[in-house]
Amino acid sequence: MNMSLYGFGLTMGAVYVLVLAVAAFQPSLAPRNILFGISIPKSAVDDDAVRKLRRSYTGQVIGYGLAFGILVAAGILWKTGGTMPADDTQWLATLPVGALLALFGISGGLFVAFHQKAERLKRESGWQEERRTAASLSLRKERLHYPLYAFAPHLLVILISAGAAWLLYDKIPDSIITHYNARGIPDRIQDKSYGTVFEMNLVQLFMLAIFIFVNYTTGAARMKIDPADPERSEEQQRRYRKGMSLLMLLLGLGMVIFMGFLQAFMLYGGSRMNGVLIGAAGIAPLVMSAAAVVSMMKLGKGRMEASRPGEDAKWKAGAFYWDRSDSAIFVEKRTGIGFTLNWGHPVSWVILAIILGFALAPLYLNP
Amino acid sequence: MIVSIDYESDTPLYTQLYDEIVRGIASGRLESGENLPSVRSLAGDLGINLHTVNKTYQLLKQEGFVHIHRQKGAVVQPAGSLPVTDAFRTRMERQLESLASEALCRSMREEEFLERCRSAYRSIRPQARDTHEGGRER
Repeated sequence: MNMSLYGFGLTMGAVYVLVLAVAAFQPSLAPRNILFGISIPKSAVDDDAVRKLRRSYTGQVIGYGLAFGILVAAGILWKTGGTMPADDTQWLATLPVGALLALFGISGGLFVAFHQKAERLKRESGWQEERRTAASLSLRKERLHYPLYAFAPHLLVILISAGAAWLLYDKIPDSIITHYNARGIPDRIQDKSYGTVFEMNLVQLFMLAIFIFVNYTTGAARMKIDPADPERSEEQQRRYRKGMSLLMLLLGLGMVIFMGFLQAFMLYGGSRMNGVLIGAAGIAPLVMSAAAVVSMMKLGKGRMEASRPGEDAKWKAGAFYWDRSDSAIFVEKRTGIGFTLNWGHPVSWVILAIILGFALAPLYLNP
Repeated sequence: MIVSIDYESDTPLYTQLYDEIVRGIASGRLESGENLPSVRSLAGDLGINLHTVNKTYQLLKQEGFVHIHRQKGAVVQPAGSLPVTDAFRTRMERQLESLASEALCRSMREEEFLERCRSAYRSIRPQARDTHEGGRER
């Protein structure tokens, strides 16, 4: 196996294993009293039947996921004979994306199957749902997420990146390498223009907008309080939301700085851009996402959801919240950490359309 | 201050929420000048319709418990500032009559009925007993 295929395989393998790990340990990312999207009594969270179901899911996701990943890797080795193909590598570049999609399919399918098992377990155990619900009239007055101006350093980084490009514009070479293939060889070179020089700053701004939006949702999402233990519930909301907001702030800063470096290497790096640097550039976002996942796990550890009467039926397939009569747009996830949308609220679809529009716009503007 | 409601109760949701907020004002847990959450966020936090919370707020405003401020939204009025109106007396008598009737049917003694009324009155704000009620009893 030559080095470039080895490096390629290692990067793709790392992404695959990270996604696989998150999927396999989903039960420990969810609130403790939520079993595959089904609410269970707090007294039952450590029952043998509940533990068994969680363990069995994790085992199956790891088993099927690893088997599939090894199959794909073996397929690549067999097809390439262990060396990076010199010519058209289109199939090799799209394969990892396909493998990841298949992995989502595998874990999603297993989740739905276990969601039904959890539903059956709840019915057979005769577990009742809570009748009451509560809300805090004062918690929203506290500052639970960082204000907009906390993102000023992010904007400063973008201004420095764009400002440097503006000042050094004359020193930037006439052609800019904007893409490297999987073997680390430049395969897309563009003429120098304002568009190519400042493209990365637009991406930075887009990323910043996403992080500001997610930070906003940590404050805006509905706050359910457990009527049986309101103090604990309030404290959990404080801890969880402040932590999520801080994470968004730091992750956002990391991403913006990373892109600033990427732009700097692209514009002023010249021929010094070697394999090691490209490898590092590929690994950095991976390391950041892994760190984010680990901190989220710590943040969400041991939390309980204040489930509402009849809420199970509103979580379609245990993962998608749909309630027309609920005026909340952002709700806490049942399947993992963070917030999701109430798909029964029309505004949720507008938000989805805006995000998709921004993400897909470059494809149409820059064919 | 926490408000809690029962989805399956026979009492309408807007009445439950109204009672909870009035209780908060009476007990002093909701202070005068404090502003209530917006209709939208409270409806979201309780998982109920906007109109339900709006109905409660309108009722609170109508009865004089809150003042609807243009910028701040619903602001709690001082607990002692409201007069005992004839409308309130009528409503109270109607509710007490229903309770008394049922107590009679179940042969509850008058003393127990009155004792329960008194302890309910005092349980809302325990310190009220020490200030004016306590002295009279002795």
